[in-house]
Amino acid sequence: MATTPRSGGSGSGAAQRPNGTSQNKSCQFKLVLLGESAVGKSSLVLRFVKGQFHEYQESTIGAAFLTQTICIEDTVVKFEIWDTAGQERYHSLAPMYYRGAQAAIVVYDIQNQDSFQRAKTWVKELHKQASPNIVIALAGNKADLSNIRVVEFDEAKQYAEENGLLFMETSAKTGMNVNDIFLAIAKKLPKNDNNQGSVIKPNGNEPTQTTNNCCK
Amino acid sequence: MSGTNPFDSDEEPSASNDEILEGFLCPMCRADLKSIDYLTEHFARQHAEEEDALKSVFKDIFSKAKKKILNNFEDERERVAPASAAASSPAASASNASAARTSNAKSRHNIYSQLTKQSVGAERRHLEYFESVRNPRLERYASETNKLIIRLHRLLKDLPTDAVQRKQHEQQTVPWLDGSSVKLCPSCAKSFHFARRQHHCRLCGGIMCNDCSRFLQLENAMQLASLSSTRSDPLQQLQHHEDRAIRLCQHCLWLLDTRQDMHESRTCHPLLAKVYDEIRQLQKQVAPDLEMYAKIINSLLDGESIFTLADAGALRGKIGQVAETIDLRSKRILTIHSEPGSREEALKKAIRLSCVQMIKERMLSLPPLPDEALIKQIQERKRMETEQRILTEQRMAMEAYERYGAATQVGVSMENRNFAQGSDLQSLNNWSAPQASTIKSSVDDPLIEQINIIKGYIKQARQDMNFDVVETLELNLRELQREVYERQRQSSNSSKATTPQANS
Repeated sequence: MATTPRSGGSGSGAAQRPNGTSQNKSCQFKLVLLGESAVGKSSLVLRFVKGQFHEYQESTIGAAFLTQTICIEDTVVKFEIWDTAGQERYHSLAPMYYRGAQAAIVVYDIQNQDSFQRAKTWVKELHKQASPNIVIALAGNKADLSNIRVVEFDEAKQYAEENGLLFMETSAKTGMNVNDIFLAIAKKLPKNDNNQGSVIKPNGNEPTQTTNNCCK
Repeated sequence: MSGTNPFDSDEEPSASNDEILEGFLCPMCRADLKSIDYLTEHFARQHAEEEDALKSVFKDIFSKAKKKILNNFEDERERVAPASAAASSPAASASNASAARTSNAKSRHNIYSQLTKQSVGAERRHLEYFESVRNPRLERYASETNKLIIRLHRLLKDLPTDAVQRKQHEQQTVPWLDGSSVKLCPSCAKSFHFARRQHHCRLCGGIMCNDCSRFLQLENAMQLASLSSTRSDPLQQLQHHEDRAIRLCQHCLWLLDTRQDMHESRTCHPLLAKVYDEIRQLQKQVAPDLEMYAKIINSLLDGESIFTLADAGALRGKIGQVAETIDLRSKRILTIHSEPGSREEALKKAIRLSCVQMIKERMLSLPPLPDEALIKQIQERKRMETEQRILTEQRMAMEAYERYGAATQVGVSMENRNFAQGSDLQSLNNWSAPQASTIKSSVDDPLIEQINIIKGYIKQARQDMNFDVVETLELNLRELQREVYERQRQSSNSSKATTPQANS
């Protein structure tokens, strides 16, 4: 697992379509993070996108939007990440964000049983309301504090298997499994499908290109 | 992962923006809408049909074009904006411009943040406009409602019990609309036919179907039309449920209901309000007592003898009683039934809390009664001091007296005294007239008499706990007593002075 997060701000900064890399397949996925407040959704994304971790991450207002592009084998996968606010008063906004999402990460805090229960209700809601082929991953965050855990690994693992979810215990603080869970999602997502969900914007280059590995 | 590192590529176009957008972002166009309501409204309005793939393609093209236009437009606006905002340096405007290029939402964000820096501009009251809009509307509703009430009154005044006659009577009072050209129910738009028949509102004559009809019970109608219910006795006997009610359209019933509600809200004083009024009354009553108590205690500790320890005790007892009553009342408010979790429940709790707080802060925090011995001690010291002072004054006076010639002084003072006594007699007689009989007339000095009267008053005022009056009276009494004392001293002095004179 030699994955190191790419440092933010290295690129051109312009929000352009990847026209320059016509040799790759390229696709774009909408990914949404859900979970109770203060379980570490924003931290997880920040670790994934920027490689940073703030001990005192401020609570998200409304939702945050970030993007990260990764390469898997021959495909450039761009994640459009919607990091929703976990506080209850923003709950009504969540459907807006998970509608049309191809992937969702439902996060809970391994030290907090309630957040695990909340995660289960999120999964239920997603099964009911989100697009039917959505890829859902369950992330037990704050794994660096596993010595004071409340939610057992096996319990969560079993629940994830029963419901067909990807499951990992992650730690935004140490970076453990953060990139892995996004990669696992990217691998599970259908990449040669033209119709990538309902609201995907047509890309400049459809994934019917030659296969050159983008990674050195 | 198999050896390849998906993150470590430089060729790959970096789409990860430096900026993290956060806020009430639209999931479609990423515009920051600033509040939940705006966002949901925007989303519902702008992106309702975007699930449609084809439409989304078109919309995408349009929104891109729009973004481009907006970007240019906002670039210009931002170029203008820094000029007005004093804080923005060239660097800031440059960063703004670049941000505007990178993402639309970001640039919008900047505009908003600049807008918030604006100072408060001109203010204007819109109350007049509001009233000018509201009053005609209220009047219209009021006149409409009145019309309905009048019709209801006529309708009910001698409503026949017989169905056919009743129908005739109803049609006479309120002409029914001609339904021949009405094919659909105006409120639910269902077609009329053999099974869904036309019905008429008895108050406006309007047409509706049975499902859209509302019924006003006759008893309620009687109340609304302010008719006595004795008339309704034969109507009460009507067997059929629908016969004992009047068919109305939704609108008429709503008008009547609103009137009823208004009326009730105006006349209804729930138990809660009553008890709360009592509490307020008590609080108002006890406020001067609290001040008075503090004053009494201070005066006692200063060694003054205007008030006694018993006064303070009595007043404290009274305050305690009031506190207890307030406590009881507020507890009573808590016992009034209300829905759990309702606003009423919260109100009750708030009242109780404020009462408890008030009692705690203002009533229970009263300084305790001072120790009697302490008061005695203070008073004793004070008395010693005054005696000391009087003695020195006397000595000074004696010295002065000895320094000047004695004989002439005495003559003058004697005359003065007689004059003063005479005038006092007259003025005081008026004052003491009602009390004169109760006071033993053994004392011929009007000053002494007056002192006795005032003592009587003070006693009365004490009983009534009217400590303000006690205070003024006590002060008055002091003055009188001093006067008497002064006079006695002078007379004794003069007698002392006269004896040597007589001797010589």
